[in-house]
Amino acid sequence: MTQTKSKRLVIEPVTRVEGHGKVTIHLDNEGNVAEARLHIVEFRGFERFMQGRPFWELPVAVQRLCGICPVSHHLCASKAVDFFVGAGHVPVTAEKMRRLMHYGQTFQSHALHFFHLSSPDLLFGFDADAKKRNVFGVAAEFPELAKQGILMRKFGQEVIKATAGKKVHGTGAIPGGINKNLTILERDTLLADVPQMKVWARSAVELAKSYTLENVELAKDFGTFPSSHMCLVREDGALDLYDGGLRAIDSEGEIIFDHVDNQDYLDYIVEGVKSWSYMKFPFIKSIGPENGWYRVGPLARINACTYIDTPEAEAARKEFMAVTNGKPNPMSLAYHWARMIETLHAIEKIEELLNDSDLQGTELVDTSGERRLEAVAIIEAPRGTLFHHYRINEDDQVEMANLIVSTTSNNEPMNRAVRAVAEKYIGGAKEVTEGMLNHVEVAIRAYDPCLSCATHAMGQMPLVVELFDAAGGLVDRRAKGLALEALA
Amino acid sequence: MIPIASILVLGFGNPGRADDGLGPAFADFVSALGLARVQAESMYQLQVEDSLELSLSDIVIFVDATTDPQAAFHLCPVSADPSPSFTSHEVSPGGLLAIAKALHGTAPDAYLLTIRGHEFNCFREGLSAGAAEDLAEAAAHLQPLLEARDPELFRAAVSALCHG
Repeated sequence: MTQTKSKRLVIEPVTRVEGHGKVTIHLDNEGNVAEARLHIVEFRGFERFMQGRPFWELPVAVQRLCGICPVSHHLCASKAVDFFVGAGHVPVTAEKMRRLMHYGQTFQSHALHFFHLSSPDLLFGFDADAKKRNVFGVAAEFPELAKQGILMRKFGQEVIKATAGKKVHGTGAIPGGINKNLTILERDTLLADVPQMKVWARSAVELAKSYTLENVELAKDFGTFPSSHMCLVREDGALDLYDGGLRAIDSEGEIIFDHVDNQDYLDYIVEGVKSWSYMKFPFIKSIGPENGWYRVGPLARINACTYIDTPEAEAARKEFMAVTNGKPNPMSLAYHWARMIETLHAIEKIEELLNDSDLQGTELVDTSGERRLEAVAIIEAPRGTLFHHYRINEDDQVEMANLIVSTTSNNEPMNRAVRAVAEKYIGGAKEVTEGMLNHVEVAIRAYDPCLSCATHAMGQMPLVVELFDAAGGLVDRRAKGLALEALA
Repeated sequence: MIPIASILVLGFGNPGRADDGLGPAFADFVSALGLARVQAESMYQLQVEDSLELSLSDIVIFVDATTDPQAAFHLCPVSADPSPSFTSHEVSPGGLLAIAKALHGTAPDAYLLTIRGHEFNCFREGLSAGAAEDLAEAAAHLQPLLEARDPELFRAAVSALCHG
């Protein structure tokens, strides 16, 4: 059909992600997609809030960025603050307690996303009735799966509580170390649940793998595009979610940079800005703003690491990489499979740590080193690489803070996924349906974006689509689940 | 014989935003009472895993702050609400009940206690004087109900305390 007016579609807000975002899709006179963008519609401002505050507040204060994955911010800020108190290397008990906290966080966050935010799309289909395509639908039709997701998340939260003191906004990590070790009772209580968690994590990997392989033709053309990938890796190239050097690879798997010291990130990463978004657009400096964008998060980590140091997750990684003959997997939908491999890795690491007597050590803090006034820390948050960069003055007040959260790094990839899916499923369509719009949201959701972290937001996210003519006039408006209403 | 119920109090809100911390403050009050078979938890927001605790209780009381200026507090019944508005990581009281019902086949008697807040738009821990007074009034009315643990008394109380 030849359309006589160019149109602008707005999906606002995007659903089943954390925070507020909207998508605008501009259609040309032929109804093809001329432009598609993901907008983050609020402003965070945390970097400014922290200026003038004493640095020791950072590990607790930055958690207020989010009530969902505060542990990543808590630990990343703690790693930076370690330098301010002369603790470039914290005691072994402190590091292992922090790692345990982090793997607990990864486990619960990935479980929540897969079972309760994304599984409705995967189980019912992207076009399924929106009244069913939600967590209640999963609970009604797949109750065992829903229970598994809930119990996996609960277990992860218990790990966090045992290490951080609270499930949300804990205080376990302190400048130079940790404020408690793990008691034998805490250890044994957690260990008792590990076998069941491993069973469920294995089955989640199988579910995500089966879905991807059974729908590989869909996945190949659903927000699929080559990209660079970035993550932390250990000295030997192993996946390391807590610490390591930065590695970036190109779309063929060739190394762009490797083992970059956290303190030197500004020599490798630049934060670009665009007039239409509050979110920045980071890129690899040596490649430039046009092509230097990259993916982070589970897909990037599985693509970029040399191997995984836990046996079951490593076997799963090999299966994953075999699909693309060892080359980086370019499919946005493959994030789900990668995320479940990391979930299995997380429970393997939790088991390994719980059986490590270092967690009962009593040396918890070390501040014997040389103090610095500027520090960078990087951690692999569930959604991807997280940067915290601070500078303090001689009075211990924060002078500068800069955070690059994983959703910011995934900004350009998500925009590309939105455009690709919009072109395929909306471009040229005679009528825009809720199912078509959900396809766009599915592409965004695969990245598990935390728009609250990327900017600042909370609240309800109804979906509104607005059609504009070439002159910018509003022609039609669709609220999610409602019929189009003519406004002319 | 008076039925003796187990009660779960879930106070939610952000104590770092002044009166938004009324829910957690009420949960702290209940914990301090030390009543048998009355459990109180405070949290920033309700999460899917809270449905597990729900399913183990006879009565659940969700406690939140409200901007409604009409009364110091309201106590109203809550029903399971499996609406597709679940869009984020947080869950509404009705949504949580719906999940509990779907997964466990039953949901407890549920009530939403809303306590009037006066100051929300500030970054500060601690309640305003007005909110502290309203909290005390709500606590004075709810304490006998919590001590009695009689489902019928809760049902009867709603007619007097639900002004929504």
